[in-house]
Amino acid sequence: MNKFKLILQGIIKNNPTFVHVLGMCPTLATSTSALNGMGMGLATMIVLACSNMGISALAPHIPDKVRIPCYIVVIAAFVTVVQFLMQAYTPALYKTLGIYVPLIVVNCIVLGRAEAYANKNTVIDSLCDGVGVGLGFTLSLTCIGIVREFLGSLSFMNMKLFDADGMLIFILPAGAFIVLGYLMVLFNSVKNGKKANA
Amino acid sequence: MQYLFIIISAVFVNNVILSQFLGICPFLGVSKKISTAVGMSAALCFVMGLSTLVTYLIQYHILINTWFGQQIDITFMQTIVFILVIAALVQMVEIILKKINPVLYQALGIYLPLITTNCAVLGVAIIVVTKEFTFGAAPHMLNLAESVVYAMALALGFGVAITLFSGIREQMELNDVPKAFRGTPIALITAGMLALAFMGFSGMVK
Amino acid sequence: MALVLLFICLGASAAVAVVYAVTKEPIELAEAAKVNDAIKQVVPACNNDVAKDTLSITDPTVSSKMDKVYVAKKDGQIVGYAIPVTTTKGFGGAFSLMVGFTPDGAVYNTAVINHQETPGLGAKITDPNQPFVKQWKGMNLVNGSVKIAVKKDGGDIDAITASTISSRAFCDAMQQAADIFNSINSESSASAAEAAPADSSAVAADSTAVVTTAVATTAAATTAAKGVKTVGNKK
Repeated sequence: MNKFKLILQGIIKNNPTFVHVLGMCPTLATSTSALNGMGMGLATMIVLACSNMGISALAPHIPDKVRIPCYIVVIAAFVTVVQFLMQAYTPALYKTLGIYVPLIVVNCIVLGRAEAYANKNTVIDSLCDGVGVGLGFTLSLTCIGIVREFLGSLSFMNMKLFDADGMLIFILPAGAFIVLGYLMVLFNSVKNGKKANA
Repeated sequence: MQYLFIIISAVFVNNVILSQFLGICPFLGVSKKISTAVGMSAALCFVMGLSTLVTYLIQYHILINTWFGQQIDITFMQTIVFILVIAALVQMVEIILKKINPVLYQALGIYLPLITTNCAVLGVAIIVVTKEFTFGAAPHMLNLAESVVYAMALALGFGVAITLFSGIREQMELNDVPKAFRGTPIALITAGMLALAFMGFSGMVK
Repeated sequence: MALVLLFICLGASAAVAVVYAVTKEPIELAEAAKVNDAIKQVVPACNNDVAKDTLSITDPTVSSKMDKVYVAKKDGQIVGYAIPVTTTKGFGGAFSLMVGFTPDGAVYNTAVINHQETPGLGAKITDPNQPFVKQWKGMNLVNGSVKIAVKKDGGDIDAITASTISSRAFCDAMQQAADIFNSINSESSASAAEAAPADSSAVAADSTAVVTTAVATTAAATTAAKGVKTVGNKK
């Protein structure tokens, strides 16, 4: 139950996108459609869960001074592994996400969780935290992807809903910023509304 | 002429923030004041030029090379090697700058640690060694000089975008923004408008 | 301190090297599968191994980046050709197409292999339901009835709205494919008529392409084309 709570916390209270505003580059760049966003989110989640586990296991043996380089090496190794696996088994998705797959290394969420959580908690807790935050990231990306895909090409999960052209601007970079901005407003007002009721 | 194409393409058409989505975190984080924005871009320009120079040399002289009479290609180590080199480089620049030019260090020093996790640095380092560019000629892999110019021009584009953006944000401080929009949301929507304006450059140079 | 860092670096590199070795083959298979899928989409039903049944093009005037033509056969009879072409004129950079022809020169289908066009704009070239993509089907590109250029440039092709550059690039790729098809066609008709080598340039109206076969099954054609050399396949 406790572990479940830990995962849930990552999704809502510690939501990386809407609460902490971390990892904006992949969020904006890969959410052109719901499936792309979900793919990117899941790739990040796997890296996050693995690196959290690895770092929490290694942390007691790492001297404080070389902490950051060690974390970066561990994260980079997992990212490269995920990159090869994607290239081999989901080549189409790998092609679409392009440069943003290796760039998971510099995603502030991954290093941020390592520094803020994994290095002072147990392996299992860190795994749950990684899965939770990763799921939060995946959900946010999927949401943004659904909105952008619907407005931009009038389709849902690559299925055309209406036989017409959408508002192109929402698929282009400018639309990414605007959609994320308005979704954040929505998230904030829902959260504040809840607080006012309680 | 070639270099002019590269610079226009990197600064305006393929602006690193507004059309390639690299380096959004510092773009939103340090854009509240024009002075910090300019300092950040200057530091970034320096680091990006230097790191691209070093990673380019590593790619073509260490990862792909003949060692002990054997042709090897260990580009699968690219991500790990590049990020470590960039992190070390930033650290080194910080130490050297502190000793040699304290004035410059005062101006740029505080931004340097932030740059390690700026995805634009690693992103550009990877892009220049993996992608073919046209720039008015036949598609080709960039050579060393072109790579460095391209990286620095991209950083310049970052500077242009972040300076414009922080100017707008400074003005916005005085506005009465609805409560739910305050902070990041309105900044994102503003960035969207800026991106719209930069779309006007698309197609000018490939 | 340094020892720990060194140890972690070694461990990480070893792990990456192992995964690289394990995934190397599936990655190559996935790359090959992409090309195979594209071939299957663009040629009529056939029962030979199209990916291995190739002709290679030696003539520099029509050579593209991928200098191969895939031949589809049903019970030994040629039913179509799949021609990979790359254009550098795309909006987002180079893109590659697989163009399928039936033996009479009509386009059977097209498939995009790689592209970097803008999603929602130029990327419509990948959507088989787009009118732009559909209009090519059945079009005969080699008998001179179609001018391969967008209407804006005085041609016969309807461009994608707001994506003229991508459409022009697509036309450029189709022109390359048509040139390559012409060179094969002139070659096969030359060998069929056992024409003298000097005549082969007259058959191909605007192209002096020379083709050699790379597979033994069609090796008979090689004898007809004198003074050409077989080039090794790039991949």
